[in-house]
Amino acid sequence: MPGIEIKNLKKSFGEFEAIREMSLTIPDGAFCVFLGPSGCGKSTTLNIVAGLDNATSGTISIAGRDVTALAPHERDIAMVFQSSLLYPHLTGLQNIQMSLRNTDTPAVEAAARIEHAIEILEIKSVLNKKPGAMSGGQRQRVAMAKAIVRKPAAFLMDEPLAALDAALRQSLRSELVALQKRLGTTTIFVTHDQVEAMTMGDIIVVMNAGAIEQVGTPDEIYNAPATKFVAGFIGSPPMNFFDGTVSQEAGEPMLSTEAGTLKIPPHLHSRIAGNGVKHALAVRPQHMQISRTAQGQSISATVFVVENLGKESVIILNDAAGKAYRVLAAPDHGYKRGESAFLVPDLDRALLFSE
Amino acid sequence: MTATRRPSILLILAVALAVIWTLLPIYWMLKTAFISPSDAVGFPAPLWPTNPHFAAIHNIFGFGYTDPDGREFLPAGQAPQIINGLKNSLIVALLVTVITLLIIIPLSYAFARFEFRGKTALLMTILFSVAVPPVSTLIPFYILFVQLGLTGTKLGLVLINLTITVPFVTWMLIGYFRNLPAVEKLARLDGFTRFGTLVYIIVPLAKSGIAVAAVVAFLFSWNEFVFATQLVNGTSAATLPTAVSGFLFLQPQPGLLSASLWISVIPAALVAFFLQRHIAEMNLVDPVK
Amino acid sequence: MCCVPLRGIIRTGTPMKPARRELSNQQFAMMLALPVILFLVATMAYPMGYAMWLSTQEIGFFGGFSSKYIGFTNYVNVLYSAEFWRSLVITIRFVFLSVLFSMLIGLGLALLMHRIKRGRAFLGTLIILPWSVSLYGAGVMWQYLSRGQSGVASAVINRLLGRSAEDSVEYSLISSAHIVDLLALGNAWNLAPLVAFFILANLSTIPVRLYDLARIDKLSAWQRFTCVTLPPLQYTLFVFTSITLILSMKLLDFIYVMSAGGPGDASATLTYRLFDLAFRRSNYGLSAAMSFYLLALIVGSTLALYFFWGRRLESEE
Repeated sequence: MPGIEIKNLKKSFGEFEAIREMSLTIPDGAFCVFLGPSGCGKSTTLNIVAGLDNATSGTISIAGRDVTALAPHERDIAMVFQSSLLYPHLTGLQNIQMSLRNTDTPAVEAAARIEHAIEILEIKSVLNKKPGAMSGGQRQRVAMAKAIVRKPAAFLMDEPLAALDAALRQSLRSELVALQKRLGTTTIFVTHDQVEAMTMGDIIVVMNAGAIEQVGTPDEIYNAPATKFVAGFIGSPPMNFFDGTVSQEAGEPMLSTEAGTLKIPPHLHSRIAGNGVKHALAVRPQHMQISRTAQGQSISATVFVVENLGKESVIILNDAAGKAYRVLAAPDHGYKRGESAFLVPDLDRALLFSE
Repeated sequence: MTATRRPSILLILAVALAVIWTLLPIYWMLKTAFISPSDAVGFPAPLWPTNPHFAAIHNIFGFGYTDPDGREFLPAGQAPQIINGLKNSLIVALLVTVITLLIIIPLSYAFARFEFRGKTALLMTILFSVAVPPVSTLIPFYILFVQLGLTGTKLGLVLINLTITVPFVTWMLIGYFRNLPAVEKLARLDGFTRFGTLVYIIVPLAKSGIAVAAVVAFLFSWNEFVFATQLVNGTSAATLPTAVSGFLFLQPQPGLLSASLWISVIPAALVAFFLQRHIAEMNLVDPVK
Repeated sequence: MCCVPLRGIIRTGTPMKPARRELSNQQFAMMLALPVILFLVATMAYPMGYAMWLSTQEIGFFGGFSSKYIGFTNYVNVLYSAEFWRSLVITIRFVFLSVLFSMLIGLGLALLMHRIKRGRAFLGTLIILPWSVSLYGAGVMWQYLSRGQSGVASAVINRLLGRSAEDSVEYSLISSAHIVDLLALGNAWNLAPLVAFFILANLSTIPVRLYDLARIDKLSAWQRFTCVTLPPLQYTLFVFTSITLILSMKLLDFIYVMSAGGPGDASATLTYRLFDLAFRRSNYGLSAAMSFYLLALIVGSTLALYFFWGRRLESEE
């Protein structure tokens, strides 16, 4: 039985299609991350799953039950909002109690659940504080406690960590995942932060412009991106693209870019969409070399910036057409800004996308 | 830092100036209540009550008073009207406050938090009625009230006051409601109906703004003079301002006039003191946008 | 309203019904707003309609109440009335000064309260007092304060000069030439506290860092005021300029009690003139017609203020 099932979902605001057509099945107990740039429709989708927003068409099922026509509180879900929104005029405890106020949970049972949530989230000290007097992390924990006391079939989280500082985010990330695994509750977590997505998700759903680009495990998303968008969106420093058109030279397919020509390696031949079609060869920065002399497959470029990260350096180079490429190199590379050099992509590890 | 420095002479002067500006007109009139009737009409007026005298304060409430010199002061003839006016004013002001709140909370909430068709036009109607001068609706209201038998009634006065408090206070509250965090989605997940959200979540959350609205409505109807003079003056529904105006134009007795102003100022000042603590949270936002 | 469900059906193949028992925004907003709007329309439309009718009538009282339709004669007569034009000038002077004084004093009081750390609540309690005093009460107070016999000027000056009660001279602040200025000052006394408190609320939202930045940029106190403090206050200033403008233009009670339009008719603003025409001289038709000129003036000047100031603020946001 799937945890959450979205079928043929569409949402438009007047002429604007926020969600073009979307179907998705999230297995029971999975931690599913919706990842995408702002405005890609991920929050809209989450709101529709929660019932806060109505879809133009399509159905939503949670734990095998069609909830399309149900009000949010009848859907057996709990939600954590952006920046862990809480009722500002209520204390931490009162905020948590609100979750069960309009349910028919017996008082004894409710008290036990709240007690339990307070214990696992270690929030005893903030129960009498109002959200305004809590730190970002404390608000986040109270919001989680408020969610888990409902014992829902699904957790929906809308960028709950976005407003926190980096160190706190890192520790809350692992805590949140540990809690989710412990409870085994199907979860949708919306974020625009790829590190959050890669570290937390069992499944990542990459969205762009109102549609799903790819659904997969973090490993699949990183190593086998289905589209050029996914390839460019995931990974830091980001993927390099050699954009050009495919032509045949002596029976071998070649990619002619503005800055030079590259031979398309055999393992990518099956992905060629046709001669004269625009394609992009994608190579991760760690699969690029920088060299002072021309080698087999190389493109001449100029060093633009050197970013020192400590254990390694990112060298940003511009080709003749002004396009930027990033190379990951050992810190003792010795290149200086303005120097001429050659980019040597490891084409055996390259990916190919047609447009 | 300026905060840790001792306050400068300039700052002390500014505070003194502000206090004098604020209090002088009030003080100058209200001191008269504690000056003996003969001194009160004397010239030039005394700067302060050198021999505090309590006849006026007693007389205004209908009590006689004998001062230490053995002079007797009879209860003011208008005392029953003042006491009745005080009672009427309290009833009218409280009713207006309660009804105004019942009306404007849902109204400004709807305008502040929802988009709906016809919103701008409706809002403009409300704002327009803020601009209408009472003096131009006075005669029509008077004639209407004669026809409906509402002249000389508290109900009529309450209705009139509402036509002024509702638009004005709605306008104030819309901006306040708009600034509240988006707790409606929390409330929907917690199983509150739309109406339940308003009653159980928004009202407690917005209590500062609502308190300010209540005070504004209370003070307005407590102090309303123009309509009251025309609609209830001389009747059993006369409010305090109209009762006090009896002293103004009929018998100039400064001591009694001052004492009756004390009665009208004290409740208002108490209410304003209460307001002062909440008003700091009001922040204006364009209600039309 | 049939179009609401229809739209849902037309747009969607398999309509996703809005969740049961939940109202749409439109329904909920209408449910909350409609009764009030109806009440307002009923309580405003009737008097306005009646006033409009009055303005086209000649009302007679001899031999019982009678009315005769005379078209726009009253409106034309207003324009030929020297009293109207005199009152218009008085109104403009009174309103301009009222707004100016209210805003300047309000801003001053706000800045002062903002500066004071200790005792701010106490100062605030004093400062808000004038606003809680009714307009008729304020009228009495200012009259007592200003006039010669009971006034503060006579009391202070005669005492300072050491005159005895017999040689004391009356110094009245009330004169035909300056009564309007004095009324405006009294009106500002009443309005400034509200202005001050809303500006104070706004002042506390200005980040302290901005003042640090101003110090680094070596701004003078005046530059700091105009470049750092004033710009974030603009919207509040605009709103309260509108409010004080409307309230001052509508004002009657204060003027009625303090000066009764006098001396002579030196302080007969349009509101006072309207009142006088209707209630003293029973010229209802002319008064009603004049009231529409006043309404036009109020709405017109508010709109003008919006177009020249408010709209610019909105487009900046």
